[in-house]
Amino acid sequence: MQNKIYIIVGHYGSGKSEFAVNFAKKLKQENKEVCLADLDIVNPYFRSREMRLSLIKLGIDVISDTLNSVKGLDMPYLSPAIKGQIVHNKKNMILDCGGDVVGIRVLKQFYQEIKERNYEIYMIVNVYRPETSTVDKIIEMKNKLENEIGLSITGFINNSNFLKQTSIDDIINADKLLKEVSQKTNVPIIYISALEKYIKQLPDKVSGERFVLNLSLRTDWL
Amino acid sequence: MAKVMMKGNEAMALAAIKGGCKAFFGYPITPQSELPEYLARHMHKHGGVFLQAESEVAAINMVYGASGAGARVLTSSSSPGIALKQEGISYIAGAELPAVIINVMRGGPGLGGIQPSQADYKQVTRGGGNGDYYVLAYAPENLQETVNVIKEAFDLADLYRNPVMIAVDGLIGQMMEPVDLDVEVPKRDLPEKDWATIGTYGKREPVNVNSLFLDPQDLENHSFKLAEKYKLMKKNEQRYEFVNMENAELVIVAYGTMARIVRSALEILKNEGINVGLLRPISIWPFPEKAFKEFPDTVKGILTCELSTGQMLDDVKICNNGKLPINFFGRTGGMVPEPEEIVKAVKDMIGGLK
Amino acid sequence: MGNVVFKRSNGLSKKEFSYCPGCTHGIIHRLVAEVIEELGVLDKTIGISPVGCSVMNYEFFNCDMQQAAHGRAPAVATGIKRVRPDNIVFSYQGDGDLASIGTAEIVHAAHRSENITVIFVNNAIYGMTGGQMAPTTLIGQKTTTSPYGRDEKHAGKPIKMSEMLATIPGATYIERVSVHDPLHVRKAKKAVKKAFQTQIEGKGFSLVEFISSCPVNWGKTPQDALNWVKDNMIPYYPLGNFRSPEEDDKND
Ligand SMILES: Cc1ncc(C[n+]2csc(CCOP(=O)(O)OP(=O)(O)O)c2C)c(N)n1
Ligand code: SF4
Repeated sequence: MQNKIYIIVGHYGSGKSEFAVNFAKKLKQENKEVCLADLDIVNPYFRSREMRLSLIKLGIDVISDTLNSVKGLDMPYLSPAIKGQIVHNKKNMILDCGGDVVGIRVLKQFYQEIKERNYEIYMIVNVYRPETSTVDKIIEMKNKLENEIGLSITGFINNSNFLKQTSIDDIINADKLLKEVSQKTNVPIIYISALEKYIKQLPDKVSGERFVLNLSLRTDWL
Repeated sequence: MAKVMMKGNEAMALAAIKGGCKAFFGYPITPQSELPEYLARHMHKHGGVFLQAESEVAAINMVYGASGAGARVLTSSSSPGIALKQEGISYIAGAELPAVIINVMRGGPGLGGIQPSQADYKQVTRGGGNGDYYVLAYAPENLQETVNVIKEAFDLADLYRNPVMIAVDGLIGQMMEPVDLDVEVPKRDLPEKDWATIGTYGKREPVNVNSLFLDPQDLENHSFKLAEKYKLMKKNEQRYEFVNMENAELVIVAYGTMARIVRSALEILKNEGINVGLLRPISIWPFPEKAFKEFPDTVKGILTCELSTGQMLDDVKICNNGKLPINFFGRTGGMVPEPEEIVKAVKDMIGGLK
Repeated sequence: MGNVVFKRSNGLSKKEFSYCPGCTHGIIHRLVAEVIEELGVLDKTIGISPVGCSVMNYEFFNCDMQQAAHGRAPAVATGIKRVRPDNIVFSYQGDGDLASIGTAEIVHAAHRSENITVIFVNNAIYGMTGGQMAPTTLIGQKTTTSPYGRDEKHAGKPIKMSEMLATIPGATYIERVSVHDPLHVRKAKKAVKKAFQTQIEGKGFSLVEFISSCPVNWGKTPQDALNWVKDNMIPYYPLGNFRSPEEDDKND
């Protein structure tokens, strides 16, 4: 089976890193080889590299900066191992990018290598973020992201939530909005992601495969 | 505007705009950079000014100038940057200018680290710069409270003609949370800014914005006048919340992110039949000394919890005035405890009291 | 020195100057006040007093004033001008203020081409604090902190702010002047006028450096001090224009 590169992009704060970490675990459970590269040099907190040690225990490779830091740094120091992995094509790769156009700028240097590989670009959307709260705004964000990397987004992940204050209606309303975006752009909704208790209650009609999120970057008390 | 999901730093920026902020001057520093970045994108749409200064020193002096010229002004930074701003803050307090300052605290001393911390407590509550002055300081625990208090801060700054500082740790700046930017906050009756240097336009005598009093008698008078103002703030602006105080055998004093962790610890303790209350200072200057008079008789001790090695602890000791035994639990340097660690500190203290 | 010096401008308050006899701060104040008045902008001018002997000049200028922290006047001016772009904003700063503690602020005000005017008074010494060495103190000049004369091996060579600031792309108008005789006073006034005009026309950062005297801390009579300006200061700090809007227009 061919390895793939999954590039996770979107507005900052849309839940990219939580999704990336959960997605890495899911692929691993499907017995795939997985390498998660944290390319977020914009955010100082809540990055997937914070899960480095526990992911490595599960057999998932994690690459971040040259110092292999887990927490506490705001230095970019992108690891050369990232390009190595993309080129060697030995594993499925998840590239967890920073938010917005600024956050995906780092992808540019891998443009040639990515283009030659089998890749997916997933745009995570939380429609309750003010800058992706309408059909037009989401499409505008999508266009900006695509312009920056020069590659097309291949799928949406509906990750709309108000954290602990989410209601099922919130998710259903978000689904309606994103369906419209999907129709207008011809880009499918790949997953609808939420905490398990919400996934269980979702009606059949929502788009996207159900994806159970276990929050790991955000602690319970927060 | 309905509830939206926002990152702390951008919600604070938007709250400032909603609070009528018309100018921002700042210098980049982690973990608050999304705040100026947000304002760089949005300030002009609201007729406001955004300018990245060459340093925190310059930024705070720009705040001085713009505030002296009558504008509602904001600056934001994180701990080492706030240290640099102290000179300007002292001048602003001395010249009795309003200003709102957001401090998204990180670990120190020195360059320290970029992870969340409450080790600026003294820098925030003890004036920080030279002279007899205080800044009104708030330490909210979640985004909704933060946003509300920032909107209110511009009125408070104008009312008292004094700097107002919002001190949150990096976690509050960086985390996402649902928030409603349009919650009504109390409005104050504000006098005209007839002291502002906006040009005489032939209508009045020139005015000065100034903190210099060469005659010691004048400076003493000025300092006493400021002291009266601080007394008034102490009387009117103490803000705090009690949680679970009924029958509490112990009171935890904690603010900001630490208070959030304590809330979880209280739940665990309750399930084990241990009654512990929380006093959460919302204003850290003035420190809520009134609250200490309201403890129920069941309280046998105080546990102070901070993301520092113990700074607010001094204020707790002052307010307790030797009455109850006090213990301290703190993590620092950017380390954030789990609720279980607080549960243990509570049990250790209760054990020791028996 | 005729009319130029003794006519009281409406740009000045009734308050007597507090400067030492023979100190040229007074003349410089008059020139600035006259220009502001003659340009008809007095009622919309906001000035900034520095820390230094001229710290109290908010009492002397007959317009709205703000007193700034040591060296920070350009930042304060920036804050004012950015929220009140239609007002005229000037700072008045000594060489300790501008060329030492406030170098970052002046460099970046010029770099952003803040549309403000800076009056820079270079008397080669810290006057207010009692005659310590400034970055502008001449080689061999004795001050309380260079008691054997400034030694370049120890303290470097005196800094030339106008020349340095003129290298900054954002600087629009920069001129060095002196007030040691009536002829130079008239030239100086022209420069001040040009500086304020640059601001009025919205062309960006303008600065006039005055070579000034400090007879008291130099330990000289007022006349000897003026001679010392002519014989020692001006040869090291040449007068003239270092940057002008016309030259920028040409290069555009
Ligand atoms: C932060 C700070 N450091 C030092 C001082 C002390 N101080 C007051 S005036 C001055 C030097 C002023 O010299 P200059 O700018 O040349 O002006 P002059 O007095 O010569 O006109 C100094 C160092 C101060 N007020 N503030
Ligand atoms: S000390 Fe020097 S600069 Fe200050 S007022 Fe006297 S002569 Fe002028």
